Amino acid sequence: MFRTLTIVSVAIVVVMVLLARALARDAGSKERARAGRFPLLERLAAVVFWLSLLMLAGTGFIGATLRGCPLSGYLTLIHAACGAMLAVSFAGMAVFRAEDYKFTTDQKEQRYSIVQKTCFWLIAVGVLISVFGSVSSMFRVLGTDWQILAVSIHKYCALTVLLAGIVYAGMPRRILG
Amino acid sequence: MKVTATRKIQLSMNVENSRSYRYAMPGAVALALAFVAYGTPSSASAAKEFHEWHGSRTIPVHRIALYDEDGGKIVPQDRASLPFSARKTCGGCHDYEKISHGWHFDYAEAGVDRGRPAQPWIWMDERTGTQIPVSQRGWTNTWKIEALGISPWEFMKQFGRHLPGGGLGETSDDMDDPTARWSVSGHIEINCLVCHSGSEMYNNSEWAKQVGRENFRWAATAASGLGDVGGMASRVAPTWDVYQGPNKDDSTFAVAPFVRYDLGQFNRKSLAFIDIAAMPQDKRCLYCHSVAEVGKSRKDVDWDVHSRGGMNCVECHRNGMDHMVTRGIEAAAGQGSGKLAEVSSCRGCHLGGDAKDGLASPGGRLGAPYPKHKGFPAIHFEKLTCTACHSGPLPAQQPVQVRTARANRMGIYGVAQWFTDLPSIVEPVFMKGEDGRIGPYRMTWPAFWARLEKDQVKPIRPEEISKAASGILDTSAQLNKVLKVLSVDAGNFGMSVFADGSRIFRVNVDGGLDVGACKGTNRPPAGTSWLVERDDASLAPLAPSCDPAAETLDPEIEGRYMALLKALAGAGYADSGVPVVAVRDRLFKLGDDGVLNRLLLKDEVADSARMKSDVATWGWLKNRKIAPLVPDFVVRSVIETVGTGYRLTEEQVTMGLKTLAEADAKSKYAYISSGKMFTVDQAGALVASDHSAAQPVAWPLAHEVRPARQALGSARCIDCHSVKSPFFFGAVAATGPLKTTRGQVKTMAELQGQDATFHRLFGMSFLVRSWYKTVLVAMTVLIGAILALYGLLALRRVIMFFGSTGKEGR
Repeated sequence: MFRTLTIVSVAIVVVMVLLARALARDAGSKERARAGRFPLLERLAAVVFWLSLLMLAGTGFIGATLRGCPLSGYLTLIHAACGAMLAVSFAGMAVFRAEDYKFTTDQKEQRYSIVQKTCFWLIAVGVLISVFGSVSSMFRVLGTDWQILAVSIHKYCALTVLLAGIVYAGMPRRILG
Repeated sequence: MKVTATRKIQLSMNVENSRSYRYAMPGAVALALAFVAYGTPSSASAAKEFHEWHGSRTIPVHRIALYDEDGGKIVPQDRASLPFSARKTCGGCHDYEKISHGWHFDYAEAGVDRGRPAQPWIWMDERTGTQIPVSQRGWTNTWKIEALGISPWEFMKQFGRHLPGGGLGETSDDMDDPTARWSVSGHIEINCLVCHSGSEMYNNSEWAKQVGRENFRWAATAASGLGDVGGMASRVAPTWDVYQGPNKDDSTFAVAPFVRYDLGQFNRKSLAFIDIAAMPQDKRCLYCHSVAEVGKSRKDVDWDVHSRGGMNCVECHRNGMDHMVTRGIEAAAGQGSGKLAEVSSCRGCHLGGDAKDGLASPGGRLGAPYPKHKGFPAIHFEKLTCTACHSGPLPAQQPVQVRTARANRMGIYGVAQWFTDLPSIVEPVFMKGEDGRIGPYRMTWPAFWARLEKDQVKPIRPEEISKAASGILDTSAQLNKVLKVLSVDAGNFGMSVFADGSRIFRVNVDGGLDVGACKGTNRPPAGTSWLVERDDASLAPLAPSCDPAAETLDPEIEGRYMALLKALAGAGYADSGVPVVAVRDRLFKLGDDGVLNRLLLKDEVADSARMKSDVATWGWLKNRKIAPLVPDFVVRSVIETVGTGYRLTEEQVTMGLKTLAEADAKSKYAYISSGKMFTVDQAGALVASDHSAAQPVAWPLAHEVRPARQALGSARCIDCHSVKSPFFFGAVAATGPLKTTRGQVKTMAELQGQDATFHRLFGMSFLVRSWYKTVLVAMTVLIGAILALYGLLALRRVIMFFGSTGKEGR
C-alpha cells in the first residue's frame, strides 16, 4: 500500500507543481532574497539539505519502497549517513531561517511565500519525527511491535518530507500573480 | 521331596533337557502357527479396536501378556521362549502399522518426505579415513545406501545401536546381500520401549550390545530388562534359526541366542508389568540426540534453558498416534500433526501470529514469555532464524568441535570405549538455510576414496581400499604388531614402546596405539627409538648395552638378543628379510641352527660406514641392506596422526592413489577429504582441487537454547556488527581424517552469501555509533525546540486573536 501511495502522491504533487508553474503569470522576481547573518553557512546548510534529501529519497524510495523490499546493504549505509547529514543541515537551516518562515501578516520583507513557509514547517515536523523514530530504535526502548510502528511512521513522515520538498522546490514564488 | 503339580509343569517345560525336544519342536511349531493364525488376537483383528485417547489424563497400568513374533503368548518359565515382539504385543492395542510410518521409522520408504535436513548417519572406517554422510531422505551432500553399495543388513549393523528399530530393520530378506543374516538374527522391530519405557531398568547400552552381537530380535527384550539375553547370533552358523534351539555343538563360543525372563516381573498369569511413560522422558531422547562440545566437562555445561525451566523434550516435539514428531520448525506448519506443528516452533510458542504470517496461534503456550526484543530492529527477524541468536555456542573465530550421539557413538557404557573422535563435527556455522534465513548449523565434511567416472565420483567401500592399499593405511596396526612382537619377556624387561623424543607410543587393546608423555624420570634419547617401559615407568633400550667386540657376550644380553630376533623371525615378516641388530661394527643375527651369530658389519652390509652407531639398530637384512623394522613412512604417519584427530597423511594418500592407479590403469582415483578432492598428477604429486562431492553436509542446530540475556546482541550490537565479528568473519576450516594444510577454508560471510566488505564497513560504523546517536539526538532536540518555540508563538497569536476585539493595538 505504501508503495502505491508513494507513487500516486508523488505523481500528483509533481503534476500539481508543473501545472502551477505553467499557470503562474509571474515566474517570480528575479531579485534574490535578503541574505542572512551567515550567508555562506546558510547556503551550505541548504545545499547539504537538498543533496541529502535527494540521496535519502533515492536510497529510501527507489532503493527500497519501489523495489518492495527492506532497505539493505550499501544503500543502508548511504541512507544512514545522509540521514545524519540531513538532520544536521536542516537543524542549521531551522536556526538560520525559522524567523523568516514565521507566518506573519506583515507583507514587508517577506522572503518566502506562504506555500514555502507551509512546506518548511511540514518538513520540520516530518524531519523531527523521522529522525526521532530512527534514533529511538537504536536504544533499548522500543520492542518489536513499536520498532515496526517506528519504521512505518518513519516511512510516512519521509514521504511527507519528500512531497513538501517537491512543492517547496517546484512551486513558483507567486501564483496567479 | 514331594513334587507339586506346579513343579511338574515347570520341569516339563524345561524343554531343552527333554530328549523329545528335537522331535516335538517341529510339531510344536506347526501347532503354534495354527494357533497364531486362528487362536491369538492378530493385529488384523485388533486393527479394528486400536486404543485411542478418550480424555483421561491417566494411562492404564500395562500389566500385559507378552507375545513373540509368531503371536504366541510368552510363558516366562519356558526356557525356550522367544523374545517378545513389539508388533504382536504392543500392536495388539496400538496401531503398529500406522506408527511404522512415523518420522523415526519412515526414512526408507519410497517417496518419503525429505523434511528439513537433519543429521545424517556417518559411515565410518577410521583405518581407511572414510566418513560418508548417509541418508535415505536425499538431503544435500548425503548418499543413499544404494549408491554406496550398502545393504539394509549392513546399515542396521552399523547404526542399529542408535536406531529405534523399524525402518530398514524390518526389511524383507535381502536376496542380493549374501552377508545378510536376517533369518538368523531376526528383524529389528520398532522398539516401543526405547522411547516409552518409564523404567529405570531400561538400558540403551544393552540394546547397542545386542545389536552389535546381531541379536536383533532379542535386543528389545534385553534392553527392557524383562529378560537376560545370552549368546551371539553373529557366531552361529548361517543355517541356524530360532526354532532349532541351542547350538548343541558349541556351548562356549558359538552359543545361540536365548532369553531367560526375569520371573519376578511376571505374575502368576504370566503377565508382565511394563512401566510405560506415555510422554517419553528426556533421557530416552538424549540417548540418540545428545550433543556435547569436545573438551568441555559436564559441570561446565548449562544445557538448554527450556530443560532448565522444567520442560521436557516432548513438550515441543510431540506427535499423535501417527508418530510424526513435530520438529519445532515453522516450515512444518500445516504438515504432520495438523496445527501441532504450527504452534510448536519458537515463534508459535513465544510470539504466536495470525494466519497471514503462516501461523494461527495466540502465542504464550506453556507459559512461554513474550520477547520484547527492545532495541532490536525488526529486519533481523526477516534475515535470521531465532536460533541464530539464541542457540548453540556463542560464535568464536573458529567453530568448536562437538560430538553427537549418533555420529560418535555416545551413550553406550561398558568396559570397552564405544565413542569415537571421528567424525569431526563443528558448530556453530552460520549459513543461509533453505528458507533464506541465516541460522546456526552443524557441519561435517565427507572423506572417502573414490573412483572417478567421467565427472561422477563413486565412493569405494572401505574393505576394498583396505585390501588394495594394504600396508599403506594401517600404519598404527603395523607399529602395534611390531611392538607386541618386541614385548617378548615383558615380565622381566618391560613392554616395548616406540619413542619420538618425549612422546611415547604404546600398544592399546584395540590393535592401535596410544601416545603419551614419558611417565618415568629418565628421558628417551632424541629422535625415534625402540625402547622398553618397565613397571616403574622408566625407559630402557630393548636390550642392555654391551661391547659387541668383547670376546664373550654377557649371557643375559645374548639371551635377550636371541629372544628378540627369534620373535621377529617368527612374526611373519619373511619378505622383509632376516631380523638383525647392529651395534657399532658388529652385526647380530640368528643362524639357521638358531644360534646367535656375531658378524662384522662390513662383511654383511654394503653401506656399513653409515650404519655404525653405539646405539643398537634393529632392522631387516636383505640384499646387504638393513631396512628399519617398520618403513619410514609408517613412522612418519604414526608420529603425525596418532593422538590427533587425523588418521592419514598426504604421503599415505599419495601412496594409496598410486597403488590404486597401478592396479587399475584404466580408472582414475581420488581421495575426498577436508573439503577438497585429492588426486595424483602426472608428476606423482598430490593435487588438491574443488569438487562438489567434497562439499560439507550441514544441518540446522536448535539446542542448546541459551537464556535471553546470553542471546547474541542482547548486550551489544557489536556481538555481530564489528570489523572482526566471528559471526561474519569467523573462519570455517574443513576437517577430516587427512592431515593437510590444503583443506577448504571459508568465512561465515561466504557461507551466508553475504558481502564481507559491506559487513566490515557496517561494523566500522559501529565504532562511531555513539557519536552518531548523540548527533541525531542533539539535532532532534534542537529541531524540536525550534518547533516548540514557534508553535508556542503561533499559539500565542491564536489566543490573542480569540481574546482581542480586533480594534486594540497590539
